[in-house]
Amino acid sequence: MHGVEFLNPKGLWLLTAIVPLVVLYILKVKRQRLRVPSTWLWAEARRDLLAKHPFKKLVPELPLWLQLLALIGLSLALARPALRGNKLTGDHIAIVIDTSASMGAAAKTPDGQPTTRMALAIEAARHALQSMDTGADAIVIEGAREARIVSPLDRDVRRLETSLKTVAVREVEGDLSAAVGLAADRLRSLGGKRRVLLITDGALASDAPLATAGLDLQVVTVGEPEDNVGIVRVDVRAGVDPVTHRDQVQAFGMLRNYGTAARDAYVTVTVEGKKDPAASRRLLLPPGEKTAVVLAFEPSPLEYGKGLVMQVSPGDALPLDDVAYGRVPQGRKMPVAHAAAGYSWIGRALDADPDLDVQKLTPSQLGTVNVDPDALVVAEGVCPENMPGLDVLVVNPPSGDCMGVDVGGPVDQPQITSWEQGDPRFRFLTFDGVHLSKATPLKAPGNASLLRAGTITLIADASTPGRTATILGYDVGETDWPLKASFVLFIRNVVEMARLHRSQGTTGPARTGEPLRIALPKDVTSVKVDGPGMPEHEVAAKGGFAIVPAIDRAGIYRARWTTPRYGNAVVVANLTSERESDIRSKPVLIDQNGGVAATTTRVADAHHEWGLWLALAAAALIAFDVFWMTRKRREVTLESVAAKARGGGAA
Amino acid sequence: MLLDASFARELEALRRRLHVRARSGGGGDRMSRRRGSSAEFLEHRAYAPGDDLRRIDWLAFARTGEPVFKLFRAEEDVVVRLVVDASLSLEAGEPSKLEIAKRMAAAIGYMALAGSERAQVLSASEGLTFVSEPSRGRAALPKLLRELDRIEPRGGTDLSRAIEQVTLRSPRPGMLVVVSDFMDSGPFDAAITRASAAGHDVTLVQVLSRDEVEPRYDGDYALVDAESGAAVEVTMDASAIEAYLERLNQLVLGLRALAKKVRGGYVRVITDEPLLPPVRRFVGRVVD
Repeated sequence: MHGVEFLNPKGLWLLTAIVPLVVLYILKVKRQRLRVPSTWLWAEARRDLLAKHPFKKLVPELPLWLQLLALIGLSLALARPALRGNKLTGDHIAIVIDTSASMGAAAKTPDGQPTTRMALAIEAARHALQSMDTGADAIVIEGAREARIVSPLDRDVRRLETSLKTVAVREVEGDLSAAVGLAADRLRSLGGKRRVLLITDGALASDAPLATAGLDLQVVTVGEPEDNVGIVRVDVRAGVDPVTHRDQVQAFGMLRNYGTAARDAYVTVTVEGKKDPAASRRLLLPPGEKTAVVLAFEPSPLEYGKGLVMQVSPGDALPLDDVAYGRVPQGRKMPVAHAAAGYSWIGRALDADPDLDVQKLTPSQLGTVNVDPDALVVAEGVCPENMPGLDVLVVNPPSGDCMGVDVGGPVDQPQITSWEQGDPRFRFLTFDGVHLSKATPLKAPGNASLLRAGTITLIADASTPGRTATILGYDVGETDWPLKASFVLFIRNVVEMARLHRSQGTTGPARTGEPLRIALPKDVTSVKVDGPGMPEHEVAAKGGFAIVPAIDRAGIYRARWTTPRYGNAVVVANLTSERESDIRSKPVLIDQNGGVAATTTRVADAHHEWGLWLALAAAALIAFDVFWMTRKRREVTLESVAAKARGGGAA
Repeated sequence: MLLDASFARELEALRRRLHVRARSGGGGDRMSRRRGSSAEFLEHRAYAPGDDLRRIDWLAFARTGEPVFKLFRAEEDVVVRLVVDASLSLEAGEPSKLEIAKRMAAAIGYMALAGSERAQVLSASEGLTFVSEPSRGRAALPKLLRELDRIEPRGGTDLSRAIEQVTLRSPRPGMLVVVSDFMDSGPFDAAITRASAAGHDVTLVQVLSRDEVEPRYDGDYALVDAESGAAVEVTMDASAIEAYLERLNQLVLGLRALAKKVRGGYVRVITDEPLLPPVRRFVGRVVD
């Protein structure tokens, strides 16, 4: 036993009630005056004669002692005293270890040796296993965003200790509700005394209290509060140098200093595979504030699409958030694959934009010729099943199915009646005064109708996750639309959307702890994916996407495919969590729901509480005090006193 | 009314049993335990030269041939002195202790006067405050009752001084009845002992109220002394009441021991109890 600790020291404040209680006993009461023949015989019985003072001498009386003891007992009971011991009581114990990113923070062992919070947590878990009662079993669960059973319920301490070797820091946000819930679920059906031992540093992403479903929960916090600087947001965009008008990569980073003092730091961005940083900047990070930084550089042609590493140096307590990843976006020139049979107003509009790299194709070449996977594909008069590229604009598709939209037969001179003014493709334009001589009605599911002629849909949205697809149900050449400004604006809006989509990468930014979604050509059925801590393995693709199950390491991931054509993609994943980077001391919120919860700094028996016994003792004292105060006074008469005196004399 | 008719009838029966051990030295109607010249034969003894020849029992001499001298009981004139404590402490009780003290004194005085003794009323507080002239015979009863009736409570208690004064003022010893609550912090044992040594036949009659022998107070009180006006703050709990009763018991034991020491009597009267039993005990010279 290590002695007694109070789980709720605030309960000791009740001890201050002793002062008014004692004051009540030393304050003079207003006495009833009673005329008696003589006070001479009362000399022995009188309590005090200090009638001139407001206070009297404190006379120890049984009620006072009872009330003092009851008050002390209640106060101690509220403070919840618990015996700390080396013994971990319980028949069934679930040890939940926090493996979120903050557990990778630097820490010190009790003897001052440098280590990590995770190492301390594993040591605490090992200590807990060794302290179990004989015959008790334990389950080991690690939890970050997801819960994982490290070892099922087992009585073999050696096997359980061995399983702890597989526990490691995951570069993800901490949300232990799933792990605690899993532990409670596993213990709920078991008999005997059950308890959950949660080992964490308290840096959790979720504010929701941990629900223990009535089980006893002991939270063991590891690690001391540390100052830290972390990258909490990162974004990489393509831009143009305002002076040279050449392509430029702009890496945007948001840094936050969680310390109490300002900190000098260098922020660098390095292209994957390069030794020298592409850009660097020195920053003074004020305490407790966020600081934005933009690092720009001109990429070489071979660097487009490669990974980009943003790093803060020198390192600090938590190295994991000192690094963030991005991807060098493609060049400013937007690749566009334009498939048309003859003269095209759209082709003319595309050619007029100097920031476009237009690949001219015939309708038959679409699907057989390599097209940039990030390209905007404009298909006039055709709608192949496997549409290449990223975003798609289909104009006047043939009757039948086109990207999920049913294309009907032609109608003459439809009158435009309404359009979706909030859609970004129709930004700054109007269809007033646009006349169509012929159109093919589209039947789009849901709210995909963008331009309507009465009940007929003329432009439909056929977008799928990761791809924006727009279908025009008429030939632009059979309208007076190209003569209007709205036509040029529409083409530019579509191109800008594609450009934005392309700049975000194939999949957009990904976060650790979430599934990694990789956009692929639709006809790709399998890709090989590798990344940090992840050996190359094959992942099935369907509908233009491959889903990699939740990743727990930040970094640059690569996907490669060889059929039907060779291709590859780079995807990055980042931690970038403000709560995870905050490795200062934070309380762990617990929804006890009938159970007992305690927060300690070491594995010990915090549940040998005797507050209940103290409360019962206090209640008994109060009951006895009430009895004493209200009891029927024993009859004392002169005869009884004389008899007693005679008895004493005889003795 | 100090004496009613039925009480007086009871007293009439009791008066014949009243004996006074005091020797006044003066002739009187009361048969003394001493040998004297009354008509009541006491005993025989052998004749000694110098004895009065008229008291030789000639019939006994004829039978035995030895001169035998006849002894007769003496007849003495005894004063029964009724010292009534009239201090303010006797105001307490319902009826008041003073009322009972006066009735007790009246009863004793009645028996004395009916027995042809002389009775004298003395009022005491911080010394003697009233002394009546001794009177004799039933005819003096109204005067005695009037004198008792006139006694009013006043002042504190100094029994020692009062009894000393009685002893000094009494040329001949008699029966000394002290009717009081004896709530006197000063020592009066010495005065009683001296009175006894002076030949007084001392009887102590202690009058107490029911509240004094069975206090039923509860709570916090400021007790005010009826005589001195001093206040004493007392929290009435069992221990306080027990302490008081122990003190009262010591007082009772002290009075009892004193009565035995002076071969007198001690009778305790409770104000709400019938008066006849204590009178009987008084006549029987009981030590309560």
